[in-house]
Amino acid sequence: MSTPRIRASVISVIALALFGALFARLWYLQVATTSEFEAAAARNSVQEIIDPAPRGRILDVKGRVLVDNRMANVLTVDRTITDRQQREVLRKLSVRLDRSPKQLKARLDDPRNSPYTPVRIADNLTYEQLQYVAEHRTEFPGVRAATVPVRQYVNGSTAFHVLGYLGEINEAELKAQVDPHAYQLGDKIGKSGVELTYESDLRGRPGVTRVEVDATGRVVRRLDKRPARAGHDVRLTVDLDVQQVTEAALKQGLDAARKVKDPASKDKFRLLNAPAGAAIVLDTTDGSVVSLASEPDFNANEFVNGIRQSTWEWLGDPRNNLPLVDRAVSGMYAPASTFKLVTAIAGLRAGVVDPTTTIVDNARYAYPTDPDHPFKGEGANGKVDLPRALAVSSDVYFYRIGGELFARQKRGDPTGTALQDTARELGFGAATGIALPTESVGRVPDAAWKQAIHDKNPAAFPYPEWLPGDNILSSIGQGDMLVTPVQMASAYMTLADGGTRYSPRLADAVFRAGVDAGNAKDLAAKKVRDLAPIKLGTVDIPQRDALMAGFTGVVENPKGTATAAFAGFPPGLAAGKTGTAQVQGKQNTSWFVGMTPAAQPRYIVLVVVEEGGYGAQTAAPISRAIMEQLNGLPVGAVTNVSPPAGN
Amino acid sequence: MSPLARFRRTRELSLGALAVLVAAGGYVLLALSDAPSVPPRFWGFLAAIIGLFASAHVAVRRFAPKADATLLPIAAMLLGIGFITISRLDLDATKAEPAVGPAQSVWIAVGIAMFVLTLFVVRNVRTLARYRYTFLLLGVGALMLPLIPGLGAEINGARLWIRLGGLTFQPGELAKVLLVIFFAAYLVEKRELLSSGSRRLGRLYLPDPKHLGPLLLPWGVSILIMVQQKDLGSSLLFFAVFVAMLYIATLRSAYLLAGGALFVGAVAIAYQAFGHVQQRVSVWINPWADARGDGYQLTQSLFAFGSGGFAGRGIGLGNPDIIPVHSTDFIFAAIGEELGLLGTVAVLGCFLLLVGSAYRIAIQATRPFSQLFAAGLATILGIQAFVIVGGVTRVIPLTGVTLPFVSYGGSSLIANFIILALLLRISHESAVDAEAEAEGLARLAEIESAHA
Repeated sequence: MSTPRIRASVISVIALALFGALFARLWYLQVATTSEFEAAAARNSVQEIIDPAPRGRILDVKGRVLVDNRMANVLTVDRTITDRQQREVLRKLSVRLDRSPKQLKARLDDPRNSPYTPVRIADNLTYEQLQYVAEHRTEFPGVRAATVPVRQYVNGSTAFHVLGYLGEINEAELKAQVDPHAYQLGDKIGKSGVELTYESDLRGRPGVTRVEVDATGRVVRRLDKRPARAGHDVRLTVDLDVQQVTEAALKQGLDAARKVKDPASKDKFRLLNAPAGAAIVLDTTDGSVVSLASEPDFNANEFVNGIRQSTWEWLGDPRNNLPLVDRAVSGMYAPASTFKLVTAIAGLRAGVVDPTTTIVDNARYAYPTDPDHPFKGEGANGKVDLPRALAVSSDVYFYRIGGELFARQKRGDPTGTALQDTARELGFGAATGIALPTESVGRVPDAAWKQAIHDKNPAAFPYPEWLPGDNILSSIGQGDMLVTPVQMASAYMTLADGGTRYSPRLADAVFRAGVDAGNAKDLAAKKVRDLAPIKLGTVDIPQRDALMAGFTGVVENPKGTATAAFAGFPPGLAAGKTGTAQVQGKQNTSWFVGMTPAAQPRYIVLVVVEEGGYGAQTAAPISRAIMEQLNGLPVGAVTNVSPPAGN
Repeated sequence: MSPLARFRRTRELSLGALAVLVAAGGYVLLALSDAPSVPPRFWGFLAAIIGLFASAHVAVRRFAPKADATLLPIAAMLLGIGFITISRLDLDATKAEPAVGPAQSVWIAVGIAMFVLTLFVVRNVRTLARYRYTFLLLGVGALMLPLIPGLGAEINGARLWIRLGGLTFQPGELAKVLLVIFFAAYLVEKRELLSSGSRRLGRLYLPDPKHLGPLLLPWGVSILIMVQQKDLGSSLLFFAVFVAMLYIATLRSAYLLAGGALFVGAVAIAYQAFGHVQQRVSVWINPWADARGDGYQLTQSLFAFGSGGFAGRGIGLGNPDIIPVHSTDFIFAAIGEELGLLGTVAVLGCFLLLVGSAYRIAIQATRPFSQLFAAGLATILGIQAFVIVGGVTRVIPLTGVTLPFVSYGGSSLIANFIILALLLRISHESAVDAEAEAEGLARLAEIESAHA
């Protein structure tokens, strides 16, 4: 019996020896050579391979997709193939893809690409082109067909100035990043519009795979991987239907204006230029931007694969009216009569007038100390009280308020600066805070401002003093007063909602990627955060009813400035104010700030047209068409309401 | 219950409690790597592992009360560590390497059921020897199953699996056990004839081919089948098990030498004949030559061991998901990265104890068939552990076999549980025999003293 035991023991000893070898090997691998592995790792370098995250979508208020990602067919070339292979591959591809080998080579050698990721050398291929390459794979070593997400502006140029566009990040933008790993050269970043202001939500987080590469650049091992997180979807307050009508009305209005004579010109054959304009619809309940348009506009899809140099130069040429400029927020215009809202409130608050204060408007107003240089009004309106002064746009009525305030200012009465104070309180001279990148602040001129520009340049501005004329012209929105359309729309919104000031809000919520906007449950589940209305404060607006009566008179009073433009419009549904601003060296700027419905306005519908003539003529019909859409009325064609000849 | 049975079962229970403690601790640590709280499913997990171990323990208590006390707790420990590692790898599950933890937990339960069933059915191992030719046929048949078109399935380039419905099964795992039964039974029967040698060849005496033939034939056939299936690991395993059993049966070193020579020759031929063998060898000699391609698995594995160091990177804190086939062949590398040398030595120590206990059972076995059978089973476990651990640490060329009880895989788990049950059965029988012998001797002494 003993021998088998010995045999088994021999086997046990062999087993023990073998396991002993394993123990020794583990010791060597895990402890003895750890420093060696570390040294090897140090000799090697760590490279990051970036996997871009799909960018979030932009939705309209009803969840309709405005900006999406479409899958595009692209070809990539692996840069680790030999030079000879590369030449051959590029030669063959250039024949197939109808691009020069030099062009392809340039993309392949673009230093912005990581040497460890295949380089995209051709975008937007047809299915046939892809298929050819796929079927002849052996002829194209290192070439891969792939589909990549590409930004798509679903409705073309619609809402271009709201949405913005993407471009490659530049040095300055790269330097401005707090997190140095968030972007790398060649990455797309929002350049304007919501694409820029909600960049951090839309972008997501790129995936990073860190690999160790040896001295020859070969990947030795993968260290770790952080998966990409898709960007969030942003839902705007913009309503696509209203936006489309707004843009169409604005375009039609500009076209119509270009066919009529400039009423202010003595030249009978001088037509209105109407090169550009802007329109904004605000919801007075919470400051939401329902639509925002600026003409001319552009199709953001042209930026998707990098814009052509010639197109870029065309866009930058002032002769083409700078389509990239968002005139709704960055255009600065003299407000003219639309500013009478401010003058009226200032006069009421300072006690210069009350709603019943009546004057006789004979189209002339002279400041008491300078009776020889009267200010002219746009036509004599006879006996006017405050509401009627607004309805017929009596300049004289407001000149008087400006003049009286100036006198008080000279006397040191604190109510003397009511015009400037009220203007600032209503948001003029400061940004409204709308989530668009290029907002201008405008200018509310006052004594300090005039002194300052004189000090800076005495030759160009010889008078340091705030003169009666400065205050008087300010009271009808002329002189040095400059406002942006969005400021003006906000000011009327404050009037309409009884004094609450909101910052115009463009987006109302952010959702996790791919939210089903038609599904309330999914919306709730994927909500990242709400973007609540931003209340900026309240403004005391005395005698609001009297003011609203005046603005309703603008479109309903037989003598109202916009009554012709609103002929046939259901009564009680519209109020507003026209404005016709004189601009040095240019045709008049046409303004109309509409409010609908008249009694308790839900929407502000502001339209401004550069070189568009009278406010009632060009801007008011555009505003009317938008109001028709907002009230569910049939939207009529926008015409130009030319004033009677000789006016 | 006899004192021996009580002693051994109590010890088994306390050692088992330790194994449960390790598994539960690992489960909590794994959860803590992800979130700073005790996982909500912890109590369910604890109840499940206690329940599983208890059912196996009760079965041993009932059907083999005098069996060895260490085998079951060691297997439980390895299972626990393996399951924790598989669950950890599931955290990084991808489409290519999907989560297998839930499937593994089902397989563990099925394996324990097979363990209980084996203990229940096989009441006497010697009865197995009686059906040796049946087992031979079954074993070779099982090996050939995957070659049947429509039934067999190829996974990772090796045709080892059969597919039934949605389940895949590797019949070769069971064939190992069946063929070892045949080898043991045949060798016991022919051992005298094989060890003496009747024919002279030069200075060597060779056994009569009449007796050697039936032994070499199935062995050759099984090797050929495995070569056909590209399963190098199993070929190596069979070869080693066969040589070891032949040696133990005959005590002729010549068989060891001849086996070694045959092995070298077979390797040389395989190297010439098969591209994948050449590739394995060249990767073994220098994995860095093509670290991104053929050498990728092995270099990733070595990096994993290296980055684990002495104490490891911590459960859930490393990147073992990078290594391909990490939940089966390369699971030891995952343990090496996250548990470090401490973990690998513990696992290897478990195997040493497991295999040592199995050989002890072989040595203490009171009957020749039991001895050989137990030695064969012990060798299966030992060689398998050595081949895969040696493979992933680049001691020997890499061949794909599972790490018993640790790797994911239903067939391998079931086969290993059957091996465990058979070893316990042999151990119990030997203890019963030894007790009877001791009792007989005591009686004899009593009688002698009475006569005196």
